[in-house]
Amino acid sequence: MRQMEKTMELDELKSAWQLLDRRLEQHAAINLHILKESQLDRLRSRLRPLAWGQIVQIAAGLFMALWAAAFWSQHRDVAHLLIAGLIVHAAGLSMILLGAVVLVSISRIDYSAPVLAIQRQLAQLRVIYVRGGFVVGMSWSILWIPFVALIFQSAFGIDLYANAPSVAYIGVAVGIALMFGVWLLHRWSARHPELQRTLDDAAAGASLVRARRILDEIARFEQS
Amino acid sequence: MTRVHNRTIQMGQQALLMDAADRNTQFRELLERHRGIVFKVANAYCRDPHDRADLAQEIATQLWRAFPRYDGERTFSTWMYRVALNVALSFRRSGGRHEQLLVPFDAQLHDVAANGTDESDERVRALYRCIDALDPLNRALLLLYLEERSYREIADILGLSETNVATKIGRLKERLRNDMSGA
Repeated sequence: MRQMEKTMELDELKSAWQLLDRRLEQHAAINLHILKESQLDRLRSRLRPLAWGQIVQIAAGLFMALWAAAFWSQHRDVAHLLIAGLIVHAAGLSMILLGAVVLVSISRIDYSAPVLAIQRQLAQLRVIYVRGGFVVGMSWSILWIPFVALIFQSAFGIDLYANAPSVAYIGVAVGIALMFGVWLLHRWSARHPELQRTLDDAAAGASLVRARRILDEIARFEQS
Repeated sequence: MTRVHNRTIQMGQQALLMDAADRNTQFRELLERHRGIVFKVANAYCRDPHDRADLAQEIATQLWRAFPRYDGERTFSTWMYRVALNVALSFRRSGGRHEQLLVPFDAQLHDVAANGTDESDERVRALYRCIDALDPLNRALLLLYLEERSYREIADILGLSETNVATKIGRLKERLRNDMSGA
């Protein structure tokens, strides 16, 4: 077998490809179900999990925005409740906006464009998505306070800030300190690309690593 | 006035239905004529038979979705290769259902390689080894080279210049030659 591989030249590779071509034609293992289906429009794609994630995010944002709008419109006379409601409202709208931007970007992907352009576009989209997710995640280090305040007021009629203002003060202080620390670390690591990469990978996980690997792979392919 | 308006709407809807039916027929005919592209791309990127069938289905789905935007002035096979390769690369990166399971190499190839003579089976296996040793983008390049596509068409499909394609194919040949002699 090894002897055969050693002697196999490129022309033989081509003839092996043609042999495989003939076999594939005869082989029934792969069926194009589409040729048997009468309703082509009903075909569903498996390559859309990111789009579903955005739809869920938009739905959650819509729910938050509507809930917060109803809340702050009822508490316009209490400043801290009004502010808490407006913050949650803004967070809900941001979730809708971010989800819509990613969704539109996904829908604009044209698979019939040149391979390298589309693969780069897909990987860049994933990087934006992961980074956006990280920013949204970080903002919750403070957002949880008005969010919990709204839940307490709506569900139990308890004004959290009036009853335990220290929860809000300490929460905000810790949240700001955490965000500031992350920002400082990010700025400092900008001068150390390897460290920045490690931090990003740790924060965003496997998705970003994979997206970056794809971008690196495309760059290597173009330069080779 | 209303009757004329309704009649116009009805005629418009009928024209749309006829357009859709024509498009459907045209698509089926073109897909049937060029189905080898779907099989070969699926075969180059998936070893597991179930994943391969899923990928072929996914390519067909995306071809159907992109078909309304297909410009009849351009070569259908070039357009089809672009869609098929883009889908195959994304499919592979999203991870097939069965790809993660480590099936012994020969068993994976059994379904396609089994119906030939021993010598031809070995040639197909050796070909698979060459394909599998390449990263996904070079795999696309090798596939198009083996399909005897012109440099201009390969450049158009991948989004490179013709000169760049020529250089890459030269390097790929060299690499394969080295791999083969070193095996």
